[in-house]
Amino acid sequence: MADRILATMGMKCPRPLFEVSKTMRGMEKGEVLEVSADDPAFRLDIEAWCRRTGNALVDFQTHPERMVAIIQKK
Amino acid sequence: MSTMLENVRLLKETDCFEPTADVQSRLAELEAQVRELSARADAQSKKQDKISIVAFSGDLDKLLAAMVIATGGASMGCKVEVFFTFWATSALRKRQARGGDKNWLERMINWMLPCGSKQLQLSKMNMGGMGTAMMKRRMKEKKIADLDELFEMASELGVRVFVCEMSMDLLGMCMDDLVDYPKMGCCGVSTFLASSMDSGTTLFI
Repeated sequence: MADRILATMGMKCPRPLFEVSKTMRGMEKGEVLEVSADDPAFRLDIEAWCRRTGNALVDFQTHPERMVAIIQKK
Repeated sequence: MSTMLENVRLLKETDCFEPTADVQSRLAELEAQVRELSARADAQSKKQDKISIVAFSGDLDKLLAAMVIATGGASMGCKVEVFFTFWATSALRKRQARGGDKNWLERMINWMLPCGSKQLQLSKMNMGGMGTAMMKRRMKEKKIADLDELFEMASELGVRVFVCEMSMDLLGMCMDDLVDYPKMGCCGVSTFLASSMDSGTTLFI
């Protein structure tokens, strides 16, 4: 379903966003990125990141040991 | 706003619309105002996309904060410029002073200042270096990026680094003493001020 998958497990702020930003640069408009993370700050950070960069946070799921965000490049 | 301008143009082109001279002049005035407002809005939104940071402190913790904000901002697509001044310039040093080109006082100052990010200490709980060592160990365990990693990330994201010329002169340093960072520049206060005036966010750390 997702065009790219990125795992940021174990990474702490600001590295998950750094990796997301780097990956998104190499993607085409409309493509979808699936990011998994376990940094507790990730939820608010990725929401703010999407709001500021104009990309869409299509879905966000919280699992017992990780969070998964689905982002579509705009 | 461009659609507004387009509507005005279409109205003018319609045959049934024959504006009087008064209406025409008011329309022209309106067009000019819309253009000015949209230019201002553009400038404002560009401003929000730039961050200027003054790194003044040579404390490890404060520099970590400055570089986390710099890399975070750049990750969010902002243009980021970090200006290193006074004690913070120590973080960029790569070597101790060599004889020859420096006088004894400059060599003395160089010797007393930390050389590079590895020698920086915490502003609190340093405890003769024990506290700093403990904190660095914790950072490694928790996979928190250290200063060198943050600089690497910053350079990859295109964060610009400037060093205050006056501070370097005062502390007896030159650009050759500093680490290699892409397009690192040496500047004065007006470079920072011009950058800050173009930025939506300016921080002094």
